[in-house]
Amino acid sequence: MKDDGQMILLSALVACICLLGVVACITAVDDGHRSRTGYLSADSMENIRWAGDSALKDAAAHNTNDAWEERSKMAEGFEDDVNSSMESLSHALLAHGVAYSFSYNDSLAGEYAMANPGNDTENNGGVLVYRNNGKARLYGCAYDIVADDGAVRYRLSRVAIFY
Amino acid sequence: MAPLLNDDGTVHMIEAALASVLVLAVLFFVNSTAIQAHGERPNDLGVLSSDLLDVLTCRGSSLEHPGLGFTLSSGEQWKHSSAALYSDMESMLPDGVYCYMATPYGTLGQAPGEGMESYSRPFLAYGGQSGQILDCKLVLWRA
Repeated sequence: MKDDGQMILLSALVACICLLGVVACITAVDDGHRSRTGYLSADSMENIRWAGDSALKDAAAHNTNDAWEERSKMAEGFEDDVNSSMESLSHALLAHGVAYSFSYNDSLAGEYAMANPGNDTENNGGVLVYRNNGKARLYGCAYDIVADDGAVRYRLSRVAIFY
Repeated sequence: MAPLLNDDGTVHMIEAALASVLVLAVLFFVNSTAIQAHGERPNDLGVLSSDLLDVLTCRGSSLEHPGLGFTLSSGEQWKHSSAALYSDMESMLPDGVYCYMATPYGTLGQAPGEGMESYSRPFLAYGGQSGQILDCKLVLWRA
């Protein structure tokens, strides 16, 4: 072979080695990502949100339909029920190595009430109540949840509507 | 008239062929590595369990086809609805894939034996009347 040919072969070899190096790096990064064994993922967060929202809806069903003047008391009853369920959710997640916290988001609920003036809702410390034929009903609530398994931290703020 | 292929031309062709083989080898390696890294078949048990759980939690609930939340709303409801829930779960899985669910109210299906390919997905559900959160588990496995 002539010198030119050897240079072409050498260049091809060097290019191959470089490509192999790049592939090895990509594979290592991908494997590193997959080796994470924490509880939290998009799926588990969706499940946590579902379980939490089920508890909220149930608490709303048990604490609704009071007189409008009793709306603050109704919201307190709702919060008591929710606190019990969220404590249980926190314990269940702790068994999987996840620290979990739930809190009402007063400002988000206020924004929601202001953005929807037609449906006669009132923000009560993050809990939304609305007036229906002189009765107070639990309409929804705004909340923040934070979940942390040591490797990943998820934070979610949302308004849950019960109807 | 000059020959169509002299010695120089032959050497260059051989060199080009060798270089092509090397590049093809690298492409093949890259391709096979990418498949190994993802390693998810269309019937991957992890993906199936996620889809199955999504369907069971999000679908509407009726007596014939109860939702997961409704079935777990009390121990009494579990007794009435768990068989229908299990029947629906089985019908949603491909041939050769089996399911097992463990909840504080009881279990559904048969647990996989040792050495069988399986995927275990823990999940939480609201216990309804108890007001407590239930720690449950869905396992999909192949015989």
